[in-house]
Amino acid sequence: MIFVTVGSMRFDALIQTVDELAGQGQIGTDVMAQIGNGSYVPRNIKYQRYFDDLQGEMAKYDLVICHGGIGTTFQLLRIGVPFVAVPNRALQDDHQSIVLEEMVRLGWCRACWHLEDLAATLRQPPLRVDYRYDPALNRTVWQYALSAVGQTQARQMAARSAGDPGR
Amino acid sequence: LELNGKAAAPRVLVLVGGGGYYFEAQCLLGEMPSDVDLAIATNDPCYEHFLAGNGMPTRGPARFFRLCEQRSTNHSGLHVTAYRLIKSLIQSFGMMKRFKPDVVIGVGDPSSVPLLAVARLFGAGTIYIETLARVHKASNTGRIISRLRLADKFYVQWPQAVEMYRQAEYLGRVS
Repeated sequence: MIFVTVGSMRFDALIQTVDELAGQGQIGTDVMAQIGNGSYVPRNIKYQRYFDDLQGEMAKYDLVICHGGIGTTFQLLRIGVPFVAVPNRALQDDHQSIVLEEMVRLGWCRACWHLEDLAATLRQPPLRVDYRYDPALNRTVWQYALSAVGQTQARQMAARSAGDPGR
Repeated sequence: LELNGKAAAPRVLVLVGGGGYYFEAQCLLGEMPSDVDLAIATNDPCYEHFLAGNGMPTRGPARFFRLCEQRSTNHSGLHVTAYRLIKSLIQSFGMMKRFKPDVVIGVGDPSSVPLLAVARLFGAGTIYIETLARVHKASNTGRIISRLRLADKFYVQWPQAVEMYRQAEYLGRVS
């Protein structure tokens, strides 16, 4: 079973391509699409505009086709569902392609650089990766934040007592 | 820190943007220690979702402040960018006055520029985390924050990204 998602953006070209492939019988018809506020409405596959729990939904499928946004791709890495990412080149600086190039280089996913190659990309076996989340950055940020708090409060108290010599 | 014999809960303001920035801020908030007095500044157009408590891993209650979108596209002219910048600065001022954060954290979103600048002015600690979406090409947001030294700590999320900015550190990713 395949899940297609556009996340919080719209990506009509992707939805239309997958819908057409399903219509031609190239990827089966057991496909679910999350189409966001896109204007293209699929005819051959099931669809829903949004899901309350997109991550939980994606975890139910064997393969996900998505755009190259970091929210979707890193969620997929975390839940360990293989995916094929298609960069949405319309976005600022084409940053999705740059991130995807790096992810492909690290062997984290397959990318489909041109939508006309999607059928061929999907024929390749899904790429399973064992991605591990490392909490080092998040923990350091909070640690630093809490240590900075002491300094800020001390500074504010010093300023307060300097302006209030009666104490 | 002890204040009047009672430890004061640290007051932290986190900027939560839309789309990918939303995801990254969510990851960071997922590791938040429980004794933080949290406020969230957001420019997400789906702001109402926050109020319904959807998907924000904030342990306990958080205060919410609204920011206008700072994201500039090639289509929006200079006057639009300037208008949004001034509006964000005023909104950031209001947050500092009302919440008085000890530390302000921005993740990727362009609104980090006005927010961290005002936080600096108020003497708060500032942290900026460059978005995962930037691997080896600097963002304007990151460039401005780095050049103006608006962040006490500046983290990037790809090893090669440390080359893009002065004082950038790589310690891993938010996810």
